[in-house]
Amino acid sequence: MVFADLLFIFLFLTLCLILSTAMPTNRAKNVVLLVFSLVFYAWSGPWLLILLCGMTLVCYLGALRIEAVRPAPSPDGAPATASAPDPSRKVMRLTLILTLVICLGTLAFFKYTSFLCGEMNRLFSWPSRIPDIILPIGISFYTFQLISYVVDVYRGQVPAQRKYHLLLLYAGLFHQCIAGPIVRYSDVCRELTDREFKVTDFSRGVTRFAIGLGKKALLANALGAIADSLVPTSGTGLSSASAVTLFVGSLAYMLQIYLDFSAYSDMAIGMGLMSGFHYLENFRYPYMADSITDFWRRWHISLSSFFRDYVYIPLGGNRKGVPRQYLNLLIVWALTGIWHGAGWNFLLWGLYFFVILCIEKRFVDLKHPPATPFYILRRAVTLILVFFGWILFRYPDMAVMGTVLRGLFCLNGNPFADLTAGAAILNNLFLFPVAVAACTPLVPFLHDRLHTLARTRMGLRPVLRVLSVALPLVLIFLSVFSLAGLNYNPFLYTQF
Amino acid sequence: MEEHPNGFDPIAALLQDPKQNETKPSPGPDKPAPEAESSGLSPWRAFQSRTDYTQKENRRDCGIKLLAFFGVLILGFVIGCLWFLRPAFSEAEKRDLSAYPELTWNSFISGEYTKAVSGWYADTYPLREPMIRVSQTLGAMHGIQTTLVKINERGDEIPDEPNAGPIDPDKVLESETGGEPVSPGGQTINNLYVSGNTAYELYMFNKATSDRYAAALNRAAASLNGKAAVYDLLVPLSYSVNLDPAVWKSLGASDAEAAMNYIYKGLSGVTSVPILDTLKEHRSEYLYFRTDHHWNAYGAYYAYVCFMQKLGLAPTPLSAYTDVRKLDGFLGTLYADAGRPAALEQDPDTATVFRPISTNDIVHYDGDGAKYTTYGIVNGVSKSTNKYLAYLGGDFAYSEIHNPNKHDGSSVLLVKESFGNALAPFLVDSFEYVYIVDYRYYTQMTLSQLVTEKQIGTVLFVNNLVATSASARVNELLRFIG
Repeated sequence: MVFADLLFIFLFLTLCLILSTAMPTNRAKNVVLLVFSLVFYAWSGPWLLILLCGMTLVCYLGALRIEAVRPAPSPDGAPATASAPDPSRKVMRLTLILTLVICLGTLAFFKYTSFLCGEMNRLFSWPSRIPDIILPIGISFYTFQLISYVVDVYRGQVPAQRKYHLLLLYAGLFHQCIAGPIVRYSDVCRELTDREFKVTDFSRGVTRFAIGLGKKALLANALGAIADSLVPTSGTGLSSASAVTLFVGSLAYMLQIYLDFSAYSDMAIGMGLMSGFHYLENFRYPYMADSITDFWRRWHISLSSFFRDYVYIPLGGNRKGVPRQYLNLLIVWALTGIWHGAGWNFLLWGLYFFVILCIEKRFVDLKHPPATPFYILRRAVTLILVFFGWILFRYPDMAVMGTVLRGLFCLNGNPFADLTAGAAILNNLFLFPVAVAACTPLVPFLHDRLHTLARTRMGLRPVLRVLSVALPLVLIFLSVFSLAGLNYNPFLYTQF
Repeated sequence: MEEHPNGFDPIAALLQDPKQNETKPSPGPDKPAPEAESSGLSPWRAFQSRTDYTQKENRRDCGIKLLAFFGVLILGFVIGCLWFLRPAFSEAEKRDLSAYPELTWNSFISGEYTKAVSGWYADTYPLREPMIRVSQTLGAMHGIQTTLVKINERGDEIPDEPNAGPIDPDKVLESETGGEPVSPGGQTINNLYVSGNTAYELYMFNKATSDRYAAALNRAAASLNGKAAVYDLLVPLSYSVNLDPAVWKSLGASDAEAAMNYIYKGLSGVTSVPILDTLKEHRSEYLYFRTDHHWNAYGAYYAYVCFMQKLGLAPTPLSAYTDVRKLDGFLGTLYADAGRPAALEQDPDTATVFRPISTNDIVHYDGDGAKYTTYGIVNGVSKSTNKYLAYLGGDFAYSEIHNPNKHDGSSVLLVKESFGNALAPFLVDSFEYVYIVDYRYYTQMTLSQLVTEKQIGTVLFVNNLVATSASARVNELLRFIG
């Protein structure tokens, strides 16, 4: 099941919200949310539930064991990890490692086996049969969530969850299970059992959900169709496509990937607010970044902070000298790349950013923004670097990627512009500016301005109140209609 | 939350309820708060009471939003539950809508069942028609839609000469495209160009499939062993006749003339019937439809004339047809495929229908052998916007026509896909017997069996160029040829 779907909105979400809001206690609400989350997850195949429940069970038992073995804290209240006697520490460590190995091993198996077998077959002609392993949806997200839980228990930052069903709720809650954000256990452990229904939270949740749904249904889907038509990943016709066609298609993809991904986070955060959860932001207008370092503080924040806290810092971060810092960064960025997908282009994408980040660290003063014209230049350069990054990201077939990159500079013998390019621009003359505006904080800025104005102009207040209630609902209506339009599929031949 | 370098934190602004967290007094010392003046309270107390009021106001608004949101969800839920209002067929899309999937153990375990349920729910949602209309209107607002380009394939280069060696028509190569079978799934338009009020389907030459097509016809001629004369008539699409070559070349569409020459050169034992030059001479006439990929009766007529000239016979002059009807309001396949653009909708096609002089009676048989006599050779089409159904009443597997005014025993077998429908009525007055086989659906007999049984003297293959590069069409043709 996906969020931008009529069945999800009008059947699943409706029933879930009505039932969970109507339940009087948090305990009852949690049962409702858990049941709905399991149904949501099982919708893609009931066997996937076994995986989710199994991995959660492993982490549940592992965390309990770690906590059971941990000696009591010293009288001054400090956690006992550092000064614990060796045998307990060893058991704790072993349990942690075993749990991590099982979780990451499962993830690696599903994610990388087919790819690795394919590559080995290509190079060594072995294995002869490449297994076709379907990647279970959401596995990249909930695996990381569970890992964060176990490590936080090990570090003494959170108490182990004694109730299996609550841990399962944390890992499998349909809000963020499938497409993020990667919610840390420490951020929601209190709210799992202790949530308060606030109508203001619910209202903010409605707005946020509407924004996400609108970004997905009204913008991202259309941009995705443009990208698939102009720059198909299969590479059909790309060697003769004009440079402008390739540019417009790649731009559409750049906008699509942000709007699509951030829409899912918006909807997750919105649905979370409607249920009393407060998830952290996952995107902060990444295309407004003024450096690649800044970009990664704005894009998929939950992932980069996960890698920072659970890979970079444990490896030593920047505390073990400069060469080691660069090595740590290399590892983190290689992992970031391949987390996104099994393919050499994903690794290349991660390493591409690693190189740029190292250059920025060494040569760019990130703390003091330069004078305005140079600042604008820096932002433009950042966008250009991100643009080319997405081209690396999009094409698993390196030959196709090469064709696109060369074609952008007319190096394929292709023309600069042609009819297809002209039609693409004309047909989407209004869509692109709206999509670009959606990538900027323009709407919140206007919202803030209107509110400031309304403080002194009383006449504006009723207008603002009506707008703040009506606009999200209008957005939901239009989005639902657009989703219906996806099923438009005319056929040619009919007998009668 | 990290402070944004420009000082303005948009996320905080988005999430913050500005009225709840006001701690600063209102700006502008020259604009005192109105309540303070009128209520006699000190400015700070007046401000506080205003903040309380706006908090209450805010909670009320939030309550209204909550109720309205639940209202929308419940409305959608209830409509979705009205199973008896779910449509089964879409007139606009000319297809059956998804049926509720069958629950089997395998489909449940694999997730296919639930996926199909999601698809069924959305595909047959009771208000889908008006919702799709709104969606397409929204889509039209994305920009200026006077020109639409959809290219999903690229054509191969067309060689001057076919390969020297023989081609095995049964061997399907990897480079082939168009492998989808016909109905019930239907077929899609892969490459489309719309300019103003005219839509053009674009043809992309596929060398491997075209070679197999020619080899299939050669096998047909060989299997008949001189029992009947075999002719091949290839139909170019409208862009080859009506559109500026600079435009279709820049779109990457294939050169129809070169493609037809290439295919005709690969034929042996089959007489080719070139029609492109004749069509170009008459291009100012209404040869092709603007909203549909088919040709109009006029285009089919000139093809008939070329065929008769090849046979050395006189074609029926157009002026001889006395019963000529015009069916207005035709919005065809390209209109539907392009997402129903307004420019096409406002200028629909008119299908011209020439009733054969001698008879309008025809006997149809469908793929299962069931017989139909309710359709004429040409028909009025009042219930559908698909006026192409006027020709033969639609696609039937096998049809027979007997001309009562001829007694010379002449017969022709038309082996066709849908383009042959517009051509068939013109053959009626020139032959005593006209047999029609739609090779996509006919499975009762092979070509040589049929020719032997009915003692047919002439076999005419009519295919539009897209069919000659569609792997599935060639496979169906081979199934009929045997």
